[in-house]
Amino acid sequence: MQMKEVRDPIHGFIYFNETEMKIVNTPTFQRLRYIRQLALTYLVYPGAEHSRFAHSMGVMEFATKMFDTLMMKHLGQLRWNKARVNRNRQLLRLAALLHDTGHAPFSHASEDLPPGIKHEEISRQFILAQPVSSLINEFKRALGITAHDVASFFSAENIDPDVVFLKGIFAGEIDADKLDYLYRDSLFSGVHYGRFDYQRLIQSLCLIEDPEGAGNLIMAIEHGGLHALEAMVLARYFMFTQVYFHKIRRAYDHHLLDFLRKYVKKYPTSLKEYVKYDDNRIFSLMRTHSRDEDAKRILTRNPFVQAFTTPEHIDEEQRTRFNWLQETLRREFRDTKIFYDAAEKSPHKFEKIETYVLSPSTGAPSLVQAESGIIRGLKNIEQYRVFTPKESKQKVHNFCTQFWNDHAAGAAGATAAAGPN
Amino acid sequence: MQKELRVAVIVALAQSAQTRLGKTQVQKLVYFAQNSAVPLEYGYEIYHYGPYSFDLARELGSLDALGVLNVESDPNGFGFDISVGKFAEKFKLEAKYQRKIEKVIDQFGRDTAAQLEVKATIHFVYSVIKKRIPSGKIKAEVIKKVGALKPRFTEVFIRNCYSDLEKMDWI
Repeated sequence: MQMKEVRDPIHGFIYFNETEMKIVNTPTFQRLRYIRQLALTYLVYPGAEHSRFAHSMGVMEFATKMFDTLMMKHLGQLRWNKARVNRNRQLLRLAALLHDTGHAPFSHASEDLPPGIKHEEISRQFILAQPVSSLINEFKRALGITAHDVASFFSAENIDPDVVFLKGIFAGEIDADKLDYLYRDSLFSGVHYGRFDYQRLIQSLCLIEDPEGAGNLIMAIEHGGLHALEAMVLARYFMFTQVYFHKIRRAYDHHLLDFLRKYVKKYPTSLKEYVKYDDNRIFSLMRTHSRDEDAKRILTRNPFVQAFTTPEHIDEEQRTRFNWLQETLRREFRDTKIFYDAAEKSPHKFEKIETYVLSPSTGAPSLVQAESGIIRGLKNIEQYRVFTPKESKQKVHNFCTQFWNDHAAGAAGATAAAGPN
Repeated sequence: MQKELRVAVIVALAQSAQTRLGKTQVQKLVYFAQNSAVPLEYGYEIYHYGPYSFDLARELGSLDALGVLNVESDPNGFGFDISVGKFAEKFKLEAKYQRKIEKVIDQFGRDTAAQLEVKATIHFVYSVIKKRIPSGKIKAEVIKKVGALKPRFTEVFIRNCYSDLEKMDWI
């Protein structure tokens, strides 16, 4: 089978076989060229113009590297024959390549628009539809792969043990999607916090018997990779605080969603129609409705501005105080345009997806949180903000700051978190 | 409303637990509670330990932070012990759901983590394939699939778990 190569700023070259390239050339996949990975973030970080197209290819490459590392170290333990290895490698590459085909315009920024179907479910439907399904079925004779096998990655009803295993590479806590988006978003936005030693991290991946006693083989990290893992978690933390939750980006997300609610209302459920929706179509719609306030604010780069923010990590008292502030603003500033933003994220999901690191002396597995003080010490991001047009910023800011200080627990003026900037 | 019900169910399970309660046990007990017509609406999929809800896993972390549960790491570095926290008593379950939870505890409360894992996996696989396989072949197919998903469990162990579920009318 002839190979094609594509240049990529992270991986150098990414290689595709003929059928993979045919899939890349379908309208389903080409649509991803016109869906920016970071929505309107490029209005803040001008370099962040990259698309889901390159990201999807990158995820396929990272998934392949992770798979090859695990096979090199653990083929004997898995007891897979060559045919099973080849099948699973190809299956993983296809799922990784196609995982984002269902994304709505502007990626996550517009996901809240009805019908509210998760992009993974739409990806599953695209995989099972023409032209992608016929192309995947080209692998049936040589590898026994069908479109249904690839779609099972995105179905809650999957009961194929190999897919359960492969999903750990593709969508776990240390997964190909995360490695690519963190590194790529960092590279293109120019925010260096997102860089980490992914080569070391991949090299330290291993399989262990599940310590909870189920006997399945699960992915873990050799102790030598712990610092690379910590760097990845910190990268994610900083990318959220510096880029994904950037105050201006959040304001644009708000204007975008409000615009979509008015002029798109809901995305079509028919794939034939859905495939027509990309960033360009929405921009065209904004130009058509350029008198609309939200469209105008995006097109003229004049979003609402931040008048007040809590700290990035708040406690129960501050959460209650912000709710009180919000109620008071609604009452006192009835004639002023204001919106409120809640930015919440856990810097890792090790609570949700138990991840183990091997002891350097005994080789015994223990939970990442138990081994890493850095990971243990990271708090959830929980930040609330008040946005308003430039013209009303000062009065809203003054009111919020005064309120926040006057109602602080203990000493007055203890937690003045915001200021005009 | 649904969120309160979810918390109340988890608290009720933690209060009634008859053995050490780890995250795997909570996952499986909630799975059976949900399949007893308690409308929790967790999305379950097969993961390392059988049916698993990522939303539930996240919520267990939040409930620990809020003092509704105590989720403590095992001192040996793997696994967790879950017990009720100081604010747990605020969450009471309606009588109609309390009866369902008591039944789940009665049926599964003394099972080991391994039994719970296999039983929940059997039930999950059964629910998926019953739509597409003739009824006479379901049992053999479920045991085969569960064996492939859980290679360390013997066929006898899986068959015994299957029989338990049959006796309790779960399948």
